[in-house]
Amino acid sequence: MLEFKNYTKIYTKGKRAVDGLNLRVGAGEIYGFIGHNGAGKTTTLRSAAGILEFEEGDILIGGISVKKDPVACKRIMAYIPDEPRLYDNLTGIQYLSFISDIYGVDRQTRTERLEKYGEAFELTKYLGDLIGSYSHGMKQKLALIGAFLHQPKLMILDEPFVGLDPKAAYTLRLFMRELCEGGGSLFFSTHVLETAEKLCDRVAIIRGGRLVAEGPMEEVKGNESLEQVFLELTDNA
Amino acid sequence: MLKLVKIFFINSLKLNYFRIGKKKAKMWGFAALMLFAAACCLFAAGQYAYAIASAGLPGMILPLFMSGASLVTLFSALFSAKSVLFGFKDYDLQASLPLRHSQLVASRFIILYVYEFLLTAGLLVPAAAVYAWFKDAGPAFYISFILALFFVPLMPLAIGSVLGVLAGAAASRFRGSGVIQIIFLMALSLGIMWLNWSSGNGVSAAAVSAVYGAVSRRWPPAAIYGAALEGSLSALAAFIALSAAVFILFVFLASRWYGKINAAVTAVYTKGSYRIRGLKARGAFKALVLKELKAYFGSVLWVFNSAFGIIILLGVAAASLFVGEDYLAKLGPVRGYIMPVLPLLVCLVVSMSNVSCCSISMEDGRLWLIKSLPVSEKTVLLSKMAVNFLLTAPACVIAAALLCVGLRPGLATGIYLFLAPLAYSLFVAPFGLAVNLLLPKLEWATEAQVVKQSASVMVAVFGGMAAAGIPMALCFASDPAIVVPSASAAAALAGVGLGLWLMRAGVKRFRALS
Repeated sequence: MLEFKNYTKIYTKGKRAVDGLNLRVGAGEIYGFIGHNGAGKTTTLRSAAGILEFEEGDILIGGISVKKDPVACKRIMAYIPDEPRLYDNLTGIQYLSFISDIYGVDRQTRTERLEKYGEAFELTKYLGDLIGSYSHGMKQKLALIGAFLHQPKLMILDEPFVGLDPKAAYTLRLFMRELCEGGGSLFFSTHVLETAEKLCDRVAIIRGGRLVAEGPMEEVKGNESLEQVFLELTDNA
Repeated sequence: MLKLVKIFFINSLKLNYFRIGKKKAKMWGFAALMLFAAACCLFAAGQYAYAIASAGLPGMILPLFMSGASLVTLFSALFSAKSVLFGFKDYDLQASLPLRHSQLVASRFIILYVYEFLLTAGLLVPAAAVYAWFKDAGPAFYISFILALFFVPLMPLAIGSVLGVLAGAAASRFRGSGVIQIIFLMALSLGIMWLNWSSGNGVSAAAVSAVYGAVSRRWPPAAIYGAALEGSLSALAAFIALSAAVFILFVFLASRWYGKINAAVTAVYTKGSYRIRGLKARGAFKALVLKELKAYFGSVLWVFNSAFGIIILLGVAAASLFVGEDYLAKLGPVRGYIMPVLPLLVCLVVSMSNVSCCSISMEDGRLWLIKSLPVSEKTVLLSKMAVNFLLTAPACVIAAALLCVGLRPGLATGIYLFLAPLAYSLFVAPFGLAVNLLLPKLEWATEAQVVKQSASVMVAVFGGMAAAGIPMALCFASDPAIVVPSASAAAALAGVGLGLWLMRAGVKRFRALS
């Protein structure tokens, strides 16, 4: 579903934020992407979402190149950044209607999905209020509902659990699993290693823009915890 | 406290970019452009002062300019108070610092004061130079002028801030707070302008005297200021004391209740009782345009900065139905000069009503959202241009129809009244968007930094003024029957050219933004 082929992002003065990344997220997989601050996680995610241009290699989504046909790629995926800034002057429902219109979700389907996700994230009754009045967590929930509304085949999430209350985090994990059971894929970055350990089918660890470990969760961590493996790979490498 | 002010200016004016990073050349270019614009304003102010002095009334120059500067400060404070003094983005960060509350408050006042002082000085310094030239003023005048200059912005700043904050706090209790604020502030501004204009204008001795009389009645500090600069020490002391007293009272009251005022201004109406029903589905382009319109009307400052001229235009056009004939009769032979230029006058208003010139900058931290949507960059750019066109084109048609009925300009001018502003509407939207793509400001703390102070807005507004102003000037030297259609055709062609540029190079620039 998502494939990085020698993906390289070079910032000014030749600094390689990410260097020659190769990895593949299969259909139905939840894929964790972990690394220190500044390791290149957000850069990678933003490039995959078609937001940030990159210099070398390619990123394929459902076999389509993000470089060559970004709109087709975006049609089948959803991206949420670590701090989703939304339109404060719109109400929650106006934002979700906007997203539904853009992705061409019909009236019947959007109503059903809104009821499902709105209730699950306990946001329905606030959808008539301005987004500017929402807390950080509510904005995060709204962005997540917007992402689930059009049932993407691939979800790219940057630190999705930050700001969510425990119940919402649990609900998100359920919906993540549900999406993957339906054949969708999830690629997300996180610093919450316990969650990644429990949730992910595969994991990649990035350090200084280079991949230092990648594979099925059980193989990467072996008999240790993910936290121990992460510290060993990132501190002692 | 001064450190907060320093940090604000370093950050908001991007001063570090002058010496660090790859934007150095761009920043110096922008600074040069700003200096040029400031020089043009100083020159224009000096010219107007010279006209008043030449009419034999040099004594009225400074009171009139002082009241003009006060009016500008009043408007500026009216619209900036809510975002600069209160409700600014980094309030939480600053409020969490180990500083006294009064220091934080004072730093915000100083920031607003610095902006208003520069505006005031920009108007009064050239006026004072002309006055001193005509009156052969001595050292006492210069000392009084410099001393009083620091106090001129204080009273209008305080009054404008109070009104702006009241409007913001009252409107925040309603869901459509942006629209309510726009209506309230628009009514207030039009009222102030009507008061200012109702006594007439022009630079003939009679007209200046009439304006001076009206100004003295409606803004008494102007008369005290005038007397102070004529050499009255008691008037100087009274002016300084009055200005300082009003401002200190305002600062004291605002500081005392800063937390409450800030909470009231930033409060957002919530109901928490929404039920899902009656959802509508739209096409992607329409959804983008609607989103853009909601973002636009949600920002009071953005609406005011871009639509004020259009509102005035519609008001004047409507008024022409009732007073058009009388006004034209008063003009006498001047009518023959003004009527053929009328379409370009409307074009001037349209050219200055640029919505798209900050529509990219206003995306701020939301650029991720628009860029992650499955719509092409072309569609996004077209939706932004469409909003500008939707706001100017219908207003142009309505204004043209009203002016045709009210002023009966003749067939040719009547046709140009419809076509020329529409042609300029075609130009303004892509022009503004192109400028914003070339000069984006994607990091800002207050809306005023984008809507009022950003490079793209300055370039788009001054560029728009030049696009209509130059042909207007040419009309007086050449045949308007040739200039008006030629300028309109050039504007439409430029609009098409810029549109094509946007669809190619503009798309690449938009893609590269992050």
